Amino acid sequence: MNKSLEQDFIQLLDKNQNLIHKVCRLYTSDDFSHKDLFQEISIQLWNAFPKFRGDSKFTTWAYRVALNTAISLYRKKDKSVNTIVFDNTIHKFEYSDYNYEEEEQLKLMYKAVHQLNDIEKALVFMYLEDKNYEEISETLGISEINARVKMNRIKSKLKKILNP
Amino acid sequence: MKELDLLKKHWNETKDFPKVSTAEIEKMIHKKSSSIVMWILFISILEFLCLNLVSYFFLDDDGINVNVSVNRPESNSSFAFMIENIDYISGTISLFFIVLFYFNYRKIHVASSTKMLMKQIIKTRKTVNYYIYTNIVMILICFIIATVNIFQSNENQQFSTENYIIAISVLSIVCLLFLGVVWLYYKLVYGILIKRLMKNHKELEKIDLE
Repeated sequence: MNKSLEQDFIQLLDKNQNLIHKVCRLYTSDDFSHKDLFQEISIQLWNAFPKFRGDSKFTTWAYRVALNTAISLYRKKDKSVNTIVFDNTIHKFEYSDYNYEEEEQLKLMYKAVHQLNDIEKALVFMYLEDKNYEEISETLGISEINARVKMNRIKSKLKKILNP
Repeated sequence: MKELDLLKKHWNETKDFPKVSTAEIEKMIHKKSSSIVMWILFISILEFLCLNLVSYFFLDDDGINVNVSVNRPESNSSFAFMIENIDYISGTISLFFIVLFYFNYRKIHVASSTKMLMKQIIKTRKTVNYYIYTNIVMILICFIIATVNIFQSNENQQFSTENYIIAISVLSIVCLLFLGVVWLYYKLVYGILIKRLMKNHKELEKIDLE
């Protein structure tokens, strides 16, 4: 692959790296796995880049590849859920107006999301990223109605986890 | 759900991720992928090679064909034809599956929908499984034919019924052990490699079925 294509790709990835970090944060629970998944997503993006035609936005294409890598291609190395790591993760959030109660709620919410399965996490990720149901259904390959139904079920599941 | 909206608000405000430099990105993208697809490709090539080696040593002229030739007048059947042409049959089957595997592998696109990607990975892996099953059936058929031939060629030495029973029992145990090892190997490979993928695929299928 030619050098200018590589440089274009590196610039695009550098500009949008937070998107990949967000996927990594959702699917891993320690720094080592985060870096490992970030690397695998970058490799997959680079390998698929020559087929990226630019008719969709780079971000739309990239989060699809990133999610697919996390769900279908990545060989998870961490198996246990580590509470301490979650606490660290939650402290990394930036607060415009600090609120203790909100912080506690966020911690619990973050833990609850991590208890969801890989597919449910993908739906939550796209919901958090403000994607509409048409995009969610296209990305996952399910119908739009079923994506809506599933999202409502996930909300109920999260409520149950928060209020057992 | 207010907690989810709260998470959404903070999710979009978060900017504290570790910064990966462009030099690091450049280094990263030239590393070898350790994805499930790469592992499937690697293991499948190994299996193709191993099976072809087994076929080469197990089904060569010094093995079964000698036994068939002993009974050539009686074994004028499609089985005898198969044994005599085993190299060609085995080669054609291998070639067919390698081509099929290659085309299925090429269809794996990471930018497809999640469901389509999973289906294609599973389909590619299944190609190798069918190849393995075909080879196992071929090896077992050849094994049975070879056994029958050994007994037929020793007709004059008059095996006792007891000896026949012992010989058949031993051969059956060997066959079962062989199948057991293959089964265990696949359980392990599937267990380690694609259990999570299968679980996620089932979960996606469930969404459309519910």
